[in-house]
Amino acid sequence: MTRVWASGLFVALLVAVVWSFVAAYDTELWLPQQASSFAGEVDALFNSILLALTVAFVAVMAILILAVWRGAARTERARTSHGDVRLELLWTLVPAAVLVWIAVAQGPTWRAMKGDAALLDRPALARVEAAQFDWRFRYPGADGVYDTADDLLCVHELVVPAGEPVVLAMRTRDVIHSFFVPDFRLKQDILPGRDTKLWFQAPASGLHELVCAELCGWGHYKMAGVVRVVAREDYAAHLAELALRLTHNGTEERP
Amino acid sequence: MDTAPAPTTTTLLKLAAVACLLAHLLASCSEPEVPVQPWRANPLALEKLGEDTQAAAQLAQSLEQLYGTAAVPGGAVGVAGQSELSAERARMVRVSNEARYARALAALESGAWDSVKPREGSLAASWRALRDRHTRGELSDAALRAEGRELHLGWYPTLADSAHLYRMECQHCHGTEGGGDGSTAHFLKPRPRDFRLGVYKWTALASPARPRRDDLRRTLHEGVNGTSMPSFARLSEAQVEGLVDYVRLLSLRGEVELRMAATFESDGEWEEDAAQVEHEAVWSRWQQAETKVLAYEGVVPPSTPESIARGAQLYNDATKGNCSSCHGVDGRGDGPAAWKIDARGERVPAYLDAWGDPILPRNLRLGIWRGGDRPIDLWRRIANGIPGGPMPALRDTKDKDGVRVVTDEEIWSLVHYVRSLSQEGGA
Repeated sequence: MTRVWASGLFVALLVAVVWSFVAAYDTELWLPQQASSFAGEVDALFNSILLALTVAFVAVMAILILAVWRGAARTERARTSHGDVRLELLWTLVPAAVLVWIAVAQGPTWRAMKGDAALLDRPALARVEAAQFDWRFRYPGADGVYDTADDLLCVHELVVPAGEPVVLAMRTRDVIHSFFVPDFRLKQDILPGRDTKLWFQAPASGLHELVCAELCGWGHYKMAGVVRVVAREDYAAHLAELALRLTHNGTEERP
Repeated sequence: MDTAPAPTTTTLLKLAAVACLLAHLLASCSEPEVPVQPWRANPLALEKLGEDTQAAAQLAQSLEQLYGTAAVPGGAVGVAGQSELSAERARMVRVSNEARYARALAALESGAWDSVKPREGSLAASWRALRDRHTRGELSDAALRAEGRELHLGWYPTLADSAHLYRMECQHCHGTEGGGDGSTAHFLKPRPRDFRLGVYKWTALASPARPRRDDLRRTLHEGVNGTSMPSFARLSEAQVEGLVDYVRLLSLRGEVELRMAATFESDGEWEEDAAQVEHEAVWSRWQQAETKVLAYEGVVPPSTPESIARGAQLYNDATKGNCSSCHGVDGRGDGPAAWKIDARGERVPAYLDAWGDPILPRNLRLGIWRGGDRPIDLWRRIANGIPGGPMPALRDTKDKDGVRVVTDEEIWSLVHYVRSLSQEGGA
């Protein structure tokens, strides 16, 4: 009876874990929409690692279940083993090879996302100014230079054009924040005293959540914004609308 | 077949521990709730009433009649805001609702009634009522779809809905009664606003009037940059309008409470309808706000080197702007008038604000503008001063002949100069 309970526990665990993934697939619990040029690549990497882990997990559980099932029936005294060089080599080298494979396989994607110097050296479309607990954005205005009289400021909503690489410069006023847009598969820490740049390209118009992914204080959970991707002409119109703020004389209220 | 050993006490205890852990995990899956706490009396008001517990009870009762309780806010005066919205605002509320409830609207379209689960109290109740009529056969599928859609698009929060949202989002800083004394308030500098004085800094108005809906909404939408007040733009327009209603209710209640207490302190008693009279007096000030908008009549002049240079002159001229006396010649907020030497010979801030906190002039070189970053916001701050603090209204500052020391146009030069202090430029 004990062997049924003991091995049954592990069978249940195996089934529950695998089932939770199968059930979550194709629902909103699975990965969010892919809304950037590199989102597909990131997901492919995620899926390949998930596949490798699934194989390893099922194999380990199968061995465990088998060992419990057979071991529970044995009546002789347990024998203690003091090391097996072949086994130890096996369980060291195989995971090491898998890790090396992961490191090599993700290299090109990582370089494209974070290391494209030619792209990152372009002038930034906007500057993200993170502070407890707001996302504020500053466009350089007509002169293309930041911190001048024609800068365009807004809070909460970053509007960017679709179908072209968008470079952002990022600063924080206080502590470490992290710019995280799940739909873009993009996450980048922003460190105090440092200008951090990132880029992405969103192929189509849409509205995407922006959250802070670095615990930044009591209001961390409130630090949410949106990235709105629009067509090029709508982007120009949005900037023109922001520019109206500079010449507003207060007679009719606009935001 | 071997038999399992009888479970020992230790095993049972372990099982109980695991069960507790699981129950806790399951419980944490549900929406967190902040319990309703009753509105307490303002200590400042109690002080004015002295030891008179009967008066305190009478005051509490009058306030409850007018404004209800924390659990059922509203009372006799209501102050719901939906009817005050302009046609344009009402349209924006609908558009925002459409975005917020996109998933529910899609579910309605496809007839997946069970997937429509509104979280807002009054919306959920109305939807349940519709479902009940549908189940009883009083409502066809098409009618349920149409009415359900209209319900979501036209939703405007009741005061109870907004009180719930306030408890979730605002109460931990601004306090149960809007006294700026929530549990996290003590860790913040500057302290969260105490609404009960009816004093608001960031308005577009020409006198220290009560703010308009637009002023409060803008503060909610943009936050107050450089303070702990974040932007609440992630909420829907209906939710923000509802919070404006609720903040106004708290502010009205708090101000009437203080005024009643002041009357009692001076007269030793109240007239029959004292609460109603005080309410009318305060409420009329809120209603007059729309007529007090401060605007610049004309085209906003562009920032030029000449204008900036003129602004610098005015900024430092003691007979004109006299800004440097507090904000310092470099604009770092370190002018001599902002400080004083106290009895112990220590250098301390010279001024207290309306809430009793020491206040220092803003450092103008940081580019952080609490009352809004638009040039017109700075123009209003300089022209009208900042209610509740020592920043004077330059528009009302006149020399001994009764002539204004700076004109409206010169205030723009000051704006250009002040803005230039944080605009060194750069890549």
